[in-house]
Parts: sequence; structure tokens; C-alpha cells
Amino acid sequence: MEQVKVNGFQFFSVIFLFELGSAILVGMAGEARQDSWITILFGIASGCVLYLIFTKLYTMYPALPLTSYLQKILGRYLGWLFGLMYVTYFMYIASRVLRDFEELLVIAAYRSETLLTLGIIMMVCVMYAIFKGIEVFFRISELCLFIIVFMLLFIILFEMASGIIKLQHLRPILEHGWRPLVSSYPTTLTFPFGEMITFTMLLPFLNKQEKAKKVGILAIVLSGLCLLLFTLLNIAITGADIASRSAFPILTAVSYINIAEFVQRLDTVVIISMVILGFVKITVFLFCAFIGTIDLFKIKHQKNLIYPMGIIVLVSSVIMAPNYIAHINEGLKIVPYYLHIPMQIVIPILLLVIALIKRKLKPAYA
Amino acid sequence: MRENRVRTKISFLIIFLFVVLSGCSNYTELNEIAIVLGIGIDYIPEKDVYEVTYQVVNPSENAARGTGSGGTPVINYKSRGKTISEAAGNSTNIFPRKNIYSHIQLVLIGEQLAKKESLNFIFDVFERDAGVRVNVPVLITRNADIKTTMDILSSIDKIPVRSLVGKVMNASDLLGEHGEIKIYDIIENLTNEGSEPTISGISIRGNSKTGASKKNIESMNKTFIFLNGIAVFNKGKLVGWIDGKKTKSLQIIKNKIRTSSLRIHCDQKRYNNLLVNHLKSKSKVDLQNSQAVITIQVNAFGNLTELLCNKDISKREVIKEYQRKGEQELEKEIKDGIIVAQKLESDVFGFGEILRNTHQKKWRKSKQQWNKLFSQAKVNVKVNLTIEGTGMRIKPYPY
Repeated sequence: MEQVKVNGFQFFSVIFLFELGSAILVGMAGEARQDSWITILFGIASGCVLYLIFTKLYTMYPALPLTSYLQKILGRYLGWLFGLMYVTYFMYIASRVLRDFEELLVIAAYRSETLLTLGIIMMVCVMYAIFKGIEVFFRISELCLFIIVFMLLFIILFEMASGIIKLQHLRPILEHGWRPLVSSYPTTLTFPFGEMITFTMLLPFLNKQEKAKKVGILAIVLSGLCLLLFTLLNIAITGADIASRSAFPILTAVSYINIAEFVQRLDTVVIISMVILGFVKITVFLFCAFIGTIDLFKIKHQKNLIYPMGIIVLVSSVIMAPNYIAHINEGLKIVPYYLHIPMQIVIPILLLVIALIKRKLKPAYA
Repeated sequence: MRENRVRTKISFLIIFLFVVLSGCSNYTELNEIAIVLGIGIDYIPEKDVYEVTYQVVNPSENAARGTGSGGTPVINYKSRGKTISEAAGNSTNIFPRKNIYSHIQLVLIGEQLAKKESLNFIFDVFERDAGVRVNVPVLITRNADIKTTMDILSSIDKIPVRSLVGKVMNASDLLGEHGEIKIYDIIENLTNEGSEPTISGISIRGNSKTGASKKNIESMNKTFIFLNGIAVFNKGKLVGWIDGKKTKSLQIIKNKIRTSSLRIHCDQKRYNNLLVNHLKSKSKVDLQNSQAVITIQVNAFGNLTELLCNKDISKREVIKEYQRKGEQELEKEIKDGIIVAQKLESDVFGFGEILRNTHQKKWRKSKQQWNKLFSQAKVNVKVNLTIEGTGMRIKPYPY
């Protein structure tokens, strides 16, 4: 594997953008309606705990990505099999995210375009980023961070200035009790906070090992608060009912902006920033799959791998669901429980337990 | 090395093609589109179809430097369909250009639609379409046909729907009887428990035949459209109207009012005018012994702007008396509005929502029969009015 190192701030910006990713677009914990902020708060807290588990594993094997230490911990064959599972998982999620953004563009902007056309254009960018290597990607994310932060501040400012925020929409608190909060919690935890599992593949590239914990937690908390703020804003502007009914709540909320009949139709700003976020998120997932494959199959001509992987992600993004509603329902009802929870929570915890026991048994080994 | 250069060239070519060709996807030229500024939706019960009227801008007649041939500034036409989208599709039979709906400024609802059908699903198409905004004001025609209403040409704003929007804004700014109701307000009130939507009504005054021709712009005896009451809905259907000063209660309770004027008795026959320029209200709703109790606290500040009788306003007692009279008048206006809504059993003020926000348990028990409870509710209005100024003169005429 290439010997590249990235610094703490670059790492921070990738995590921040990755976490905002598609979560800011499709909205979080819609089921909990105006109480979704409570779920998100719990999500942030448990997301940090999960990240601590990932970093603990990382400090035990600082030079290795997840797919390698899976083999160290679980033995060669079983570990390899699990590694393959993770690679497939990353590619699947990459195509899910790609689908999200294809749908956004088709529904909101390019109504006569096909999913595939837009997918090809996005995928070309992603594949190019991977082709250029991890260092370039982290640097471009650093730049994107400033663009995104600027754009989001811009949106918040205009939403406040146009006087469309109605705080009474956030009441009553706990109208339907705790049940919707509990049932929306797993989705919120796994998406996007649990998706930090990808960084078990990328942490070895960090230049200073001791920074991993601090940078990661900071990025998770800040991006979580950002998501929280936007969820609150969306609900306060459109009301819980419209927010939970709309395909892209943030787009609906922004379309309400109208300052003096002059500042209006800012949807484009949202779509542009969403495409940037989508690019970062898809690239991270595909990168992990890419690194994992190289690691598992010991491939020499690494760059040739980009084409088939990119095409698989592209094609599966189009054929994975017949329409947007089916895609969203899969993402809310099936994927979190059958894929996210085992891959993001159960396996890492088991790994940590096994690794710790192994270390106890053989102190000299580690 | 050489291979590399070829590769760079090819990739540049591809990127160039992407940039240039992407402009060709889904292109529409400006001379092939018709910009729809207003849309009117009505319902024909005999045939069970929607009738949609479009107001399309006529660009050459609106150009700053006159290239027009003396035609009307807008073109109105209508089409029918079982759904609004179908009607829009059918409109292509009669109109030569492609309609662009993203610049709609006003949606008009027909009285038939509001009475016979309901508003419930009308706005779905506006929400679902990514090009159309939902922050568009809505009005309802009263005792008038939609097409006729849209046909009345206006002078100051060339485009009729824009002049209508201007009227609503003006009335809500200065008179305080109407407020701008947007599509999302209606959707919100329809879907929320404990509140019902309202829409300002418009009617025609004058001869609608001459109003629809260019003569209307040339003559001083104009036919025009005026705001006429606020429509009250119950479960999506129009059930009645709040008229005149009573409509102010709606704007006061929803805290949408900016300025308003108030007439107060000076002596037996004559009045004074008071300009209210700051007004805030706070409503509380509670259930006591299965009767709803609504308490509205209003704080208002105003200036005396016209005195039609001689009383020495430099005396504190006189000002205090005026304040008291103003408070009574405002209280009466608010109560009258609420009484109309209570008779129609429609909680247009959103008191149910206030109860939902403050007393969840009581709301859960009573939400099924809330409209009944509202109609029998006890209403307390407390007004606190302060007269801040009397204008450029201290005393009235010494007659």
C-alpha cells in the first residue's frame, strides 16, 4: 500500500463532510417528528462511543486497516471472509449513497435525465479522485470543508433573515411519548454515526496516531450538532408534518426563503453543496472498498481495480430499487437492522473483545 | 511519455464535451416558453372535472420600450381535466407555447371548488412538483367566476394577478384586515389538528364586460377587484365568511397585524380615529369542566390621528377615557370575529393547536370533538391600549 500520510485537520474535514453527507439531505429521525432532535442527541453520544471502539482497535493495530486486523484477530480464513463481507458492504453503501444523489438531481433539477447519466458523471469524478490517491482526496476535502461551511452558514443566515422560522412548530415536546424516539433511534445511530466504521480503513493514513481520538470525536460532535441544527430549522420552517412527508426536507425548507422578493430560489445552493457532500461520501466508501480489495487479494496493478469497482457501484445504484420510495424504505427498514447494526456495531465490539482476550492470553504477542 | 500525452488530450476532450454538451440536455429556449403568472382552479360539479385558468404573460406588451401592438398584457385561457395535471396537459391543445409554472405569483381558488369539492388534495401537485414554489399567496373568488376575475385588466400593475397580490399586501400592511395566506399555510392548517385554514376572498365591482377589455385601462370609470371577506373552512370545505372589521380578529390573534385603525366614540354621534401601530396578542386555552376557556391578552399602542369633536385631550382623564373606549372597541372587534367562527364551528384561530401545545393530556381527550368545544367556548378578551401620541396638534378646533 502507498505510504501516504494526512494531517489532523484534513482528517477532520473528511469526517465532517462524510457525516453530513446524505444525512443532511434525506433528513434524520423523521418518525420522531418534532422530537427528532432528542434522537439525534442520543445518536451523537452513542456515535462517539462507537468511534472510541474503532479507535481502540486502531491503537492496537496502528499500521493496519480493518481488513488486515480482521485476519489477525479472527484467524486467516475467517478474517479474510469477514474482510470480503466488509468490502462488499462498503460498495453497497457507496451505491446507496450514489442513488440518493442521483435521485436528488433527477427529482429536483434534471427532470428529463436518467439516473444512469447523472450516475456516470458523478462516478467519473469519484473514480478520478481515487485514481489520484488518498492524499489528493484529503486535500480536496479540506477545500470542500470551507465551501460547505460557507454555504451552510449562508443558508442559515437567509433562513433567519427571511423570518420563516416559527418556533411553535417545535412544540409540543414528546407528543407521542418515547415510542417513536426509540423506534427511530437505530436508524439515527447507524446513519450517519455508525458509518464511521469506514474510518477504520482510513485511520492508518493519519500522520499522528494520538490525534485520532481527539479529531474524530470533535468532528462527530460538530457535524452532529450541524445535523441537529438543520433538522430543527427544517421542522421550524416547514412544520413537522411537511418535513416528515417531503423527500428532501432541507430543499423544501430552503425553497420557502423569500427576502423582499429578491433573495429566493436558493435551492440551487443546496443542490450544489449536496453534490459536494455526496462526492465526499461516495469517495470515502469506494476508497475503503478499494483499499480493502487490494489488501485482501494482494493486487499489484492497483489502479486498474478502479474501473470495475466504479462500474459495479454505478450499475448497482441504478438497479438496486425500482423507485425512490422503495429505496428510502429499504434504507429505513431493512438496511439498518440487517446490515448496519451487525457490521457497524456487533462485529467491531466482538473484535475488540476477542482482541483484548487474545492480548491478555499472550501479552508478548501484541 | 507519449502515451501519457495522448491520454491527457483525450481526457481534456471528454471534459470539454461534458461541459459543452451538458447545456443541451433538457434545454428550453426563451421564445418557446410561456410564463404562467397566475393559476386559477375551479371545479365543475356537473361534469366532475377541474377547470384550470392560466394567466400567461404577453412579453411584447410588457417590454419597457414599446414594441407591443396594443394587445393585452396577459393572456388568459382555461382547460379542463379530471386532475389538475391533466388539465395542464389539455391546455397544450389551445396554447402554442410550453407553460412554465415556476414563476406563479398567485393561486386563485374558485368558490365552487371550495364548497362542493374540498381543498384537501388540491395543493398536492404544487408540493410534489420541484419547479413550483409553495410560498405563493392564495385567494378565493367570491360571487364571481375565476376567468372573469382574472380577466379584469388593471392599470398600475399591468398584470392582474400582481395587482391582486399588491392589494393583499397593502391591506395587510395598513388596514390589518387581511393577511397574506400562502400555500404552505393552508397545507399546514389542513394537516394540523386543531386549526382550520382561511383564505381572503375577492369580488368584482363594476361591469365585468368592460373590465375585461382595454377600455378599462383607458377609462376613469374602472371595473376593479376588491378584497371581500375571509373564507372560513371546515374539514377542507368552505362553510362561511368573516366580513369587514371582524376579520381583524384573525390577524390579531395570529399576531400578523402591523397597523390598523380603530374608531372610537367621541360623543354620541361622532368618532375619533386611532391608528394602532403596534399590537401583540397572547392567547391561552384551557379546558375546565369540559368547557373550553379561551383567554386572549392584547397589548396595543396607538396614536390619535383624527378628532371630529372638541374635547380637551391635554387632560389625562380625556386620554384615559379614549384609551378605555378604544379597548372596548378592539375587544368587540375581536369577540365578533370569534363569534362568527364559533357559529361556523371552525377553529380558524388555531386555539386547538395552542391547547395541544400547552395541555397535551386535555387535548388528547378532547381532540375528537374540538370543533364542538370551540363553538361553545367561553372567550375572555383583555385589551390593554396605550395612546402614545396625538400628532402635530395638541388641541382640536375650538368649536
